[in-house]
Amino acid sequence: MAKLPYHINGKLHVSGSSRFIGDEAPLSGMLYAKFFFSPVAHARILSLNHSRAKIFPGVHAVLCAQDVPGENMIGHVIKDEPLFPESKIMYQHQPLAMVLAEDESIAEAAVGLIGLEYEELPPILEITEADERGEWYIPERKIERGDVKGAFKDCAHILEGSSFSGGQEHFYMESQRVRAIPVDHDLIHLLCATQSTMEVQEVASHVLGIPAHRIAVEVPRLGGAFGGKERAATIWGVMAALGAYLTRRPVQIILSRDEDMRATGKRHPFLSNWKIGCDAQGKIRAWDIELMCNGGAYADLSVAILERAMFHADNIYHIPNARIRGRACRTNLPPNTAFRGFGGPQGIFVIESAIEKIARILGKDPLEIRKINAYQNGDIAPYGQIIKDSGATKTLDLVAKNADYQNSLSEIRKFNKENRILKQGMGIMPVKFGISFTTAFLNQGSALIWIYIDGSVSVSTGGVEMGQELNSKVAIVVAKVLGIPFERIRVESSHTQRTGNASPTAASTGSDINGNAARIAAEKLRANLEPIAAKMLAEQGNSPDARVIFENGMVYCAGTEQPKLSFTQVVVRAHQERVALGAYGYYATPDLWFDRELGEGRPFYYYVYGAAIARVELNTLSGEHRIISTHIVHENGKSLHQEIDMGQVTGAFVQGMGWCTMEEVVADNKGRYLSANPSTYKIPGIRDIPEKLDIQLVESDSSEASVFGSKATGEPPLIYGMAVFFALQDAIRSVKPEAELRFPATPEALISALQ
Amino acid sequence: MITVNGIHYEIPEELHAKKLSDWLREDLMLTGTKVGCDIGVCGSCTVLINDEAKRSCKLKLNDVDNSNITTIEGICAPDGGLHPLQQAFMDAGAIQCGFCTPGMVLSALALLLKNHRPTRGEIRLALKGNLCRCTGYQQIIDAVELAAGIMYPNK
Ligand code: FES
Ligand code: FES
Repeated sequence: MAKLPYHINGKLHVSGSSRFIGDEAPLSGMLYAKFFFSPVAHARILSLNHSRAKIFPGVHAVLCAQDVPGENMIGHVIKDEPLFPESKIMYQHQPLAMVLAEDESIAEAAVGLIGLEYEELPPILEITEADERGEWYIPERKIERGDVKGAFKDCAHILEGSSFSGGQEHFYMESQRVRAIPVDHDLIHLLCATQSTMEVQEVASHVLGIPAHRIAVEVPRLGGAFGGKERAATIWGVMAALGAYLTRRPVQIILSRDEDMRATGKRHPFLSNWKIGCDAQGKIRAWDIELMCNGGAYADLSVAILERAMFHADNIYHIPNARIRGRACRTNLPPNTAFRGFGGPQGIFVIESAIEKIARILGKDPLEIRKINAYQNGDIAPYGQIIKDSGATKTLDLVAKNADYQNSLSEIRKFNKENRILKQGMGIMPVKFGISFTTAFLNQGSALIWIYIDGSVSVSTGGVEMGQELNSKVAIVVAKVLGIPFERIRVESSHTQRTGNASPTAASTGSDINGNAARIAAEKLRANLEPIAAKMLAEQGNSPDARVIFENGMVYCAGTEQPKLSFTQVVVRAHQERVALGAYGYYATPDLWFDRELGEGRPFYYYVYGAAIARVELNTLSGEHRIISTHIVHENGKSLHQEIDMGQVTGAFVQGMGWCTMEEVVADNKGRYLSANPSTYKIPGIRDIPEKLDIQLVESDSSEASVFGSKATGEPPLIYGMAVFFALQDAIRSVKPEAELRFPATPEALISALQ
Repeated sequence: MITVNGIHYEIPEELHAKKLSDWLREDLMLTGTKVGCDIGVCGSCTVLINDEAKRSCKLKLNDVDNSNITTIEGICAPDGGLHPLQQAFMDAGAIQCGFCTPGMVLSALALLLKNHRPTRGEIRLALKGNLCRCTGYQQIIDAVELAAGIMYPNK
């Protein structure tokens, strides 16, 4: 098979001609928004005075809570978040008012004229404090299987611990942005950098008090999102909609990097207390864990994120007796939100910390402990899902072989004996990641395809292109079904008028859901074209019963040598014979359910498996390290596009490595984020990646894979990054066996662990 | 006078203090120059100034008087065909969301103009000021190596 072309929009990107929101020419009469942000994290509003700002030359409007025509509410699942607070400030940098002016500098100047009187309240910033005070969005959640209490009685070893993993700034290169354009007198067209067109539309319609069909949300593409434009984009989208609705002028919001980093939520920090029991060999018998997350000021997606952390508290390990409890805690930080992995990495971090401890206490090889506990087919996860097609042992074995695990271990031992300041270490990170939205109804999507009479094809799905190359994958699927070259296909923006009610492009399900919807639409079109093609081929002397083949833009009968017709000829004839050349495809992932009361169900359609091994070298004086190598084995079904998946694995690994080794979200004791630009918040740069990065994608034949046997790749590989954390911990423990490494493993954390 | 992609522009007084990145994007509509941080750290606004990679968000028009500026739009062939380095970015899979891509390509081009056979280490060094949140950089390094071989085959 010919090598598939890379990025469907690659040529646009490399030539600088791809348009992101804000790149299009300014519209005449457009207003630019700037915000008056809260200077404190928690306060009662006594007065908000914007009379001077309102009359500032060039200012067209200053909007706040009183100006909302509909419901001042953007909370979605749990309705607790106002667009603008009316009486109570809940986090630092919460937008309290929006100034709309003829240019940004005027808006900025007018923001400076707004006066706020408030009575400051003590902020709650830490998980422990919020938890002690019972500041939860909903009561504790629980998943339980077996007899945990009883099982601990029979354990040879019982270990306890507590683990903390920190926040992470999304740092999508394109900041939050939206342009709202009033059309006619009854429609607002929102070009919005969101992963969720439906949510922006729905929330805007409530806030404005107008029906959803009067709001059109469109996303041409995003300059990265990583979960940070799922819920967190809604507030800006709705602000712009409100501005355009009230002023009847186009409104543009582009957050500066500083505003974006201060005002938007991050990955959830998690704290957990745990107790694990195993037999003399290290086989785990019982696992009791409580997970608490720092959700920030409003519920946002915190409960779903907590739930996914709970679903991943077992990672690849079969634990017959488990009790997993979780509480999502409200604090006075910007509402923490979705971030690639969505709680999964945080849950996995805990069990992996526990596994490391078992290996250390029992004096066993951590790889061995992982292998003897790995899920086998037929095992049951704590929430009742039966494990089929387990790739846990297979990927662990393969990555150990690729990394030459045993030899590397002895090399490291030798190196550490011979070197006093430099110390090496190795870390292992296996992954089992459940694919599907755990809120079952979100697992649906649709696609709309038009074949035009010149044979070119336009495809729309509800999915949002944000660099994951969803559009390339959708085009591959459609090209395959219709038997036409990839280049004939254009994948359009995501637009609520073409594909409405779209679930967020999230949870790694983008290509599964949208790819399948596109497949179904394309299959309908092919079914429409087949009889026409058969008739035309029969007219050319072929048997009317022969099977019709669509391939490479040509149409012919199976078994005949020469292609007889072009795809376009068939399309033209179909149009003349009044056969539909447009089709809608709808897909819902089958067989998913979860009962939250019982903590039981089948929340995932399938799992993705993989494993990583990292080797590092640490300078124990400076705390600096280098990653000598990382080996990754990633199982992904029958890939739609190997190189795209490779890119996803690489990028996610580096992002995960950044999370646990260098990215530290720091807030002061007033709840103000101190790291608000790329010089104070370090994301991995090109020199931080491993000197040797070896990634092997393994094809698997899973009965439960998705479109054409492929599997999701977006989130799971982020978790491999934690192999670097455990490798650093291993290096530290070669000096000080009981050392506990703080998260993230910055040079300061490494040095302090050694002291 | 400033030359951008071969076209000369006289700069009126009132624009002297304007940021180069804003001028390129707003006045010339060359929106391939992206602004990721606006404080000179992320590299997404990189352009070539007399063949050196520079961050356009850190410069005022005053600073670049009499310079020859190349933006991402300016390295394509007149017929719109891609420069070998651009093609290599596509072929090596070095693009995901594409937001960092123009800056990345131009930083890499500045390197290749000086060093026709950079090692992977030299590529890392030259691109250290360009952040990418999507790709994990591996394929970007591959792309630059690939392009070097195509641009300067007889090395
Ligand atoms: S935008 Fe200029 S360096 Fe970031
Ligand atoms: S491709 Fe998205 S930031 Fe580099």
